[in-house]
Amino acid sequence: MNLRTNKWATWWRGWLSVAALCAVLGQPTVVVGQMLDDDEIITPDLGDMQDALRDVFDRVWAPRRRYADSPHMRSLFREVVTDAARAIVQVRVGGRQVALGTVVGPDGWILTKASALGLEDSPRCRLADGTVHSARVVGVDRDFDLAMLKIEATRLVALELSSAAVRVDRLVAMRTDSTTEDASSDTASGREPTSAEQGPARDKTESQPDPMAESPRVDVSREQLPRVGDWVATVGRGRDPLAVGVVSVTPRPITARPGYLGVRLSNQPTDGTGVRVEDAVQGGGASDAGVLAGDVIRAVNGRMTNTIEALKEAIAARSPGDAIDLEIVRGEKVLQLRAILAAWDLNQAERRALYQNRLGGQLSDRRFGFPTVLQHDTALAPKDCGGPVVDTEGRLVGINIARAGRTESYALPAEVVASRLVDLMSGKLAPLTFAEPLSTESPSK
Amino acid sequence: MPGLSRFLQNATPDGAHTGHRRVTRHVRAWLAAGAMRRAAGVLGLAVGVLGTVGIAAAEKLPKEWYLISAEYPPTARATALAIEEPLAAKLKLDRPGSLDELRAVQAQVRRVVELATPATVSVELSDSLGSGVIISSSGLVLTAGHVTVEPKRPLWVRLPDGRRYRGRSLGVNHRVDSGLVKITADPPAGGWPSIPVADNAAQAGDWVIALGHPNGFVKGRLPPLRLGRVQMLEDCTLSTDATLVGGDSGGPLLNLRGEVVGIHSRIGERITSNFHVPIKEYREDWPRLVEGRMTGVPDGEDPAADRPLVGVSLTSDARGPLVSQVFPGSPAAEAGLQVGDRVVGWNDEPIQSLAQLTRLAALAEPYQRVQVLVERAGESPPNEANRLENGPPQRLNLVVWLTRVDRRFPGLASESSGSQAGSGSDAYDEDPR
Repeated sequence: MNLRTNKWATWWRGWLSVAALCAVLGQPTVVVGQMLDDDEIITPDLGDMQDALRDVFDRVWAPRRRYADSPHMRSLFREVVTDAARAIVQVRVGGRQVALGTVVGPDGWILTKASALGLEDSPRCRLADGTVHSARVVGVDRDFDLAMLKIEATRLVALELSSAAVRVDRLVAMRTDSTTEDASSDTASGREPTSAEQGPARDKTESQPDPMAESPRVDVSREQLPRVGDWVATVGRGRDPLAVGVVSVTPRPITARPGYLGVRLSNQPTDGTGVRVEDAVQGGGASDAGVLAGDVIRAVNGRMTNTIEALKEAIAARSPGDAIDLEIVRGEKVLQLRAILAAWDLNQAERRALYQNRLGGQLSDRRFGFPTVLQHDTALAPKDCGGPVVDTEGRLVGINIARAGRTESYALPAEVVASRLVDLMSGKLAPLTFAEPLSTESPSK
Repeated sequence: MPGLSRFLQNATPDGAHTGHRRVTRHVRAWLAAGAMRRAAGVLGLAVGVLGTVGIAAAEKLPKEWYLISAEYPPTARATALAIEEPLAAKLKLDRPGSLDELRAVQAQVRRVVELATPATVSVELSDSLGSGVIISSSGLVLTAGHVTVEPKRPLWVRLPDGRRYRGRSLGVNHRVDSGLVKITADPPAGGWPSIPVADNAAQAGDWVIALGHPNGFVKGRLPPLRLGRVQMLEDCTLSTDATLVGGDSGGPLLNLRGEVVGIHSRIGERITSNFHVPIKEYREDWPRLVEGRMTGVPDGEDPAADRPLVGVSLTSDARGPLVSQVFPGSPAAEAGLQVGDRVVGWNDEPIQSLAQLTRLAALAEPYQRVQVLVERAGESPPNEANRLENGPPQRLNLVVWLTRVDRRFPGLASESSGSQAGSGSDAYDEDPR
């Protein structure tokens, strides 16, 4: 569908360019014809001809450089993203990129978009130096859709979101573990580094990409929080940003939509052990996860679901695109299954809205229900979520978390992300592990 | 024939029966009209509403609210922002040269947002939802034609802070997708927040700011800003890479001076295909828009089936036509026609017979304003209360703002079901008044 459209557009554009050329070539002839009538020879004014030529072209063809998100525009942001790009990793599942990751700790801590991992427990991370590492999911915050990955590595270039700085200042610095102390003390002083201070450091990192090199530090005080209309660049793994856009709306909560597991439940009591599944809808999240008719759902995300109401409540708390962990009793066995919630069937108006929002690119499945996000107009690919966005000064604005519509992408504000780091790293939000997917312990009765 | 009762409506000879085929032909012709539009895929941006917005509640409509000065641009308008010189010079370049230049653009964009956000509104009708922008302190709102669909419809205008005010749609031009709305509620002290319209057309490469309510009004969200540049200029269309989506229809496209240069209209399949109605289309069409006329018909409708409606039944006697019934809420009732009035003039033409009046009315254009001269029996003078006859008849010149025959009029149902090609405007429910 997409391919056909592109071909079609190219075809038209080609023909229109030819038409434009004909029109341009035709113009001087007309001018000359008039001159002959007047029996006068006037040299055609070159400026006028250029203007006429441009007018004709403006009607039929838009050069690529005119896009607000053109390669040229992105290259202007090179100086403010080059350093941050060294902290970006590619998060891969099944050999394909599913998200970007941001290195937030030099010893292998990587922040990414949780729902992008799907059912995967051990995604792979390709670092800036090209090496690929297997990662563990050590923490998942489903409210913000953030996941913390851990790889076995040290002395990585990390983007620091100093949680200590959140109260007064926010520190965004490129550093290695050796410079931690310096960075924090600078933050406390609230000093704005001058360009002179930044300049040499940047030159150094560009000329010799050594992780140990001293990197520029930038402080962000509350007064400098992004405003509507500010440029934001989405940092990728290259030297130029992946895309540029502007802040559309200052941070606000996004309403949740209930997720849909795709099961029909039985009203028959099950001795208080759980809720019996009468039928798992074909193609629904439960059916894909392996839930069968007759299974008893005993717990969701570690919470007991003794009644239908409790189960509904547990599921409705999560959004479409979220993964939930089910504890299932099947006969004598207890199973741990992970299912991805789907969206409810759309009505006609919603289908129409979804169709329009998908014109021009795909959307993230998990795009509803965030405690707070900053909306920007960057045309972001869902697989490029998980990386940072920076402003014209190279300050961290936030972490991209969803492509939510044709006009909107969401980023979690930097201070919000910083406030989640400790919980994500400490194991407080550790996901249930499936070391033995089909454990055979007998259900407690 | 005494007792003859008929609607004054334009009975085209073949309109009623060939409706469906005509619709298909019309739509095809329209798609072929703009080559680029066809390549990009044309799409209206109003959001269809399945529920009903409560517009039916009691409305206090000021009398003759629609008599608006046809001046363009409206005098009571806000002043544009200045662009400081270093930026102004650099903006002429086709591509920005440095990050510093972008910082200057950013500073200007912040100022424009501050100026334009209060004037960016949501326009809400019973069956569609779009955006708009207030351009005069008296409450004139520019919007897209497919948002209001028809003139004279009651609607709500919602300011970014969530407050709703009553309004009515004025003129609509379906050929270019322009529309005008008047806020009929009393203006706040100091008038409505407004922004200026641009005198000069946008040029290819200009930085432009899109505001509006993508996906409809969201409580607690100010109109999201989108930034882009003018990509192409066609005769009735401006295309930019400032992204739009359903609900943005009617929202303003602004230049860096904070002036309206276009109104959001359609999108195509590529992210960079966003189409706007250039402001010059409003300027050129201004008298008709202010008068509340409709140009062209909504998408997918048969132009031949478009008939004017006055809203009276007539009988006739030897001296000519007499009003036998006035339908409540109709243009005739609005203008003050009464049962028993004798119609003696139609747009300065003397009326002798019912047939002549019917013919003239059939030739009228829907939403035209017609001067109807009626002769009405005078009140009985109080001191001669026992006289059998009323006082001398008085002549009244009434202005009737015609509407058009309801699409769901009994007997025309098959016709309206043929209009499936509409974009966001499939349902033409006449709003309850």
